[in-house]
Amino acid sequence: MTGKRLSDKAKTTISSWLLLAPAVILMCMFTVYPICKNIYLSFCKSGFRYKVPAWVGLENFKDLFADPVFWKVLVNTIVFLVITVIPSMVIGFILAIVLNSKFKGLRFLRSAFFYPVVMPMIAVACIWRYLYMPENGMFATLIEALFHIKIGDVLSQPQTVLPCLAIMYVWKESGYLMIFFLSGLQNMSEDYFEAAKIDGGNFWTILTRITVPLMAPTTLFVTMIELTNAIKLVDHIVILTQGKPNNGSNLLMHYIYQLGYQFFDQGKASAVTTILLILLMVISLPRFFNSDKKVHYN
Amino acid sequence: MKKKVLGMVLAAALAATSFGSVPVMAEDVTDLEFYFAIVAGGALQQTMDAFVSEFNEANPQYHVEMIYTGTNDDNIIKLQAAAQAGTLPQFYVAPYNYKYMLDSLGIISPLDDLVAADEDGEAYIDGFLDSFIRDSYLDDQLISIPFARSSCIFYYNKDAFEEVGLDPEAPPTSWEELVEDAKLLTKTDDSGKVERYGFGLCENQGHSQWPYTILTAQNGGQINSDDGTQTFFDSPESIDAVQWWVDLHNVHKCVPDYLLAFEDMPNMFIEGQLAMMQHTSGNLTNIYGNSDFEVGVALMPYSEIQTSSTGGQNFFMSPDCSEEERKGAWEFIRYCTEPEQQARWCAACGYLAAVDAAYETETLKKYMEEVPGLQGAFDQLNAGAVTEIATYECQQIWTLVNDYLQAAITGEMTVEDAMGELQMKADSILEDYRE
Amino acid sequence: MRIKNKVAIFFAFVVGAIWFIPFLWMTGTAFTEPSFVMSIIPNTPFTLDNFKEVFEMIPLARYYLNTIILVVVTFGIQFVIITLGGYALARGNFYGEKIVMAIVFMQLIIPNDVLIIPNYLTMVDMKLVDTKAAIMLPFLGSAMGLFLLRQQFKTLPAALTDAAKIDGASTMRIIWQIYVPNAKTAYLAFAMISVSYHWNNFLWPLIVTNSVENRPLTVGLAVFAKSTETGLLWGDICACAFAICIPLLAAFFIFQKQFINSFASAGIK
Repeated sequence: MTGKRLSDKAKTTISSWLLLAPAVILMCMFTVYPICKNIYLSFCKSGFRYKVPAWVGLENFKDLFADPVFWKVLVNTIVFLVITVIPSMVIGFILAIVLNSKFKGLRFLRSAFFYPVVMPMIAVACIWRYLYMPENGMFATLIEALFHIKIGDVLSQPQTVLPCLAIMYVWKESGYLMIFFLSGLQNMSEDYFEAAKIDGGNFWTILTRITVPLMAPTTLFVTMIELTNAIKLVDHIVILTQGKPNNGSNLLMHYIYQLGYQFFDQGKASAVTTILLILLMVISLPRFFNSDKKVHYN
Repeated sequence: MKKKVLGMVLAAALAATSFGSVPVMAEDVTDLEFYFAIVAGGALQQTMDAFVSEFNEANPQYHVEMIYTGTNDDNIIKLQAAAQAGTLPQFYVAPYNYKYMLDSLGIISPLDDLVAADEDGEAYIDGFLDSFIRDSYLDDQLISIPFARSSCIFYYNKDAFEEVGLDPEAPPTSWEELVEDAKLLTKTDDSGKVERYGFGLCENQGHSQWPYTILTAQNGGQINSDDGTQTFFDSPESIDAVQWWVDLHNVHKCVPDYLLAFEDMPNMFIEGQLAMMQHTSGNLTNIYGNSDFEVGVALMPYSEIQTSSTGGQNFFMSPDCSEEERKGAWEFIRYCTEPEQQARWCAACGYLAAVDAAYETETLKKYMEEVPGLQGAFDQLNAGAVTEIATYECQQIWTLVNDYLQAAITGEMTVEDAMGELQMKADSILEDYRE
Repeated sequence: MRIKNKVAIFFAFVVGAIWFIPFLWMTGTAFTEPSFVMSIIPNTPFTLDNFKEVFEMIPLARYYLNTIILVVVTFGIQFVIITLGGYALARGNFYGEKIVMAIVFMQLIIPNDVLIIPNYLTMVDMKLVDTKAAIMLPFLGSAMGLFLLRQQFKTLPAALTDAAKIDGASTMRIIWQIYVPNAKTAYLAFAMISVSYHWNNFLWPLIVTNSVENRPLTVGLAVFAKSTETGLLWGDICACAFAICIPLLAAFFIFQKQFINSFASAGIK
């Protein structure tokens, strides 16, 4: 009996690996191998001046940790994550609750909130650069008309540049997060709410006691997606600020691009990438702890 | 290379079928490629394509092909990759002040032998404007030929001058006068909103090193050593220049109170929101064509030394080319820098003609009637225009200069601190290149 | 939980209208004569000159073709690879299953976009720099696609395949004739994700290509938007942005529901 089953499994193994071969080879070549290679490179001096990467141990990391620019970029990245992820989740959640009802114009609203998702960030950044333009830009004109404050160029002031990038990002991403909350809400049984209503619960108690706790798994999942998305994004920096003023809007991914492709210091760029990889792993930890509990697999 | 082999095979086949009675033709054609960082399309491409096809037609022994390489960054990355793979083009166009970096990549070659071999080689080189040809030397060897060049020039709005009672024919000549005029020209409406700023220079990433170079040079300061391994960002002249710049913001309040972007300035000038500005000569056609007021171009107001700074790109030649290839590339470069071609180039694309004689051609005389400011740009080049910061690792150094200038302008650091720290950082990068 | 509050709904419409402003702005600027002062409703006459100028200044048609080739070929290859792999993973019960799933999860956690430095060096070694293949390769073995199909295939009843097996159908026939037709929603979802991802992708194509022949629309727009010596020509930039966005936006406005459902189901939950 067992012998037969074993050979069955052995057979499946051969055909499974054959079927998976293209996928596995490609994933190994462009995900597993580069991760290992990157970690190796982060201990090397590498770039156009070095024909072959030369092992230097921890020097790249030492250089980075001694460089205030690196810390500035790291702090910027964390600040940017916080001020984009939280607001876009809150807005996405609120939108989901409103759009979960049935009323005239629902289709219009869904389009309005979701269309930025399908636009390329490059195009979005070009448009927003126009909106944020000093003097004649819409944003400046609007603020001036409403508050009689002259704000100049919001993208060149250390205090305003990250929030302004965040506003654009929240505009682009809220609709995306909304749909996850929406499907979370739709999967919830109406019974809960009916019961709560009979018990006399008002909107707020229902929201805080029932909806929010039930949405916890969705929220966790959305947080991870959103953190990963926001971390890997660089297009908006390339178009809007190139990191100005004085690295005030430089984020890790843009820093990697700058180090690797403008300064040709691939060793240092790899070291930053390694740090980014660690950050991504940390972000995704909850995914592993929850994998048994089936956070949200279809 | 492939084409050449193919050509030879074809020629051989042809020769074989006709029993060698036909003289071999294809064999003698030398294929030449060059890289040029321009965005395909538009006047630039059309003019370049015209140069290439004219040259190919007139010189059947050569076949030149241009390869567009997108932005400057792309161009360098592509050159680097080609160097590693051993597939460098015979020549290329690159920013003139990348010369040290190109040298460290090992992809330049001296051109002195070609000048010497040319019967009027010396005269050819003498024909270039001093402000341009000066940047073409490395270790006393000629390594590049000026081609797509520009200069920073001083634009002003004559109508605005008249409006505030200034003589539109007497633009400022010194920093003091510039500040005085700029303050007069700055116009605020009743609600306190600035309708027009007196003056502007570019302060955003990738551009602010240009005015920095100019102001420091005007102060008599040297920015980098001639061998590209040393910078002098913390010199008194440099600090004074940046301090004057910062004061425009904080003390005189005659420039926009934010980091003015190079790209936004032409529109603001045309809209009458900037009365005076330092900007590239590449904008002459745009500004003369679109402004509904009278535009003036004058020599730079200065402190100690009358000077501006040049920009743009030169022809460079790759090492390890055959004699034939070098000769062909040289012929093509000479063709593109003849007065007539430089004049066409200037009129069509807005670059400044790099040779004196071009300004005497009918083409440019006609163009100058439409855009009188070109004369001003030409005068500026003759009055003085220094090299923009040129060092090894120049992309990194430029980024640093931009970062620290921004820190000084936005008040994040004092000028002394910013320039001191900038110098320290530059030192740590350039150290490797010093002997 | 549903909202019946009229005020909340009204408020949602106001916010929705605000959300549309950037799009209206882009469209308005793209189709009107250049004006240097911005207003919410365009104040200059209608024109198509901006588009004409863009087509003259940059090889937009070439970029379009490149993007379409990239998107179609990428999805075509992904389709085959993830179908085969997804089937194997759904069937399960083989040695090394855990290893494969670990690799899949690794790619889900660490997107290729982050690995630009080592992947670029790989392309240099493979002599693929500045080719369309280099743009596509890292994305062909899509972990997201594998995962999505695995989940979908798992829901198919075993009875479906048993009958075919008795008839002696080969694995390939079972996959293409039974599994594929029964997983249309998953394919549609993945197609939408894949197409919009590669239509919009920027950094990797920027780095790994440097000639017009291989660059997609996004890189073309970025190079255009950054290359202006003469100041930003907003009309032209908006026209260019509009031209790049419109195919996907039009598809979205028409197939709104499918789009939203696709993104919802493919978020790798």
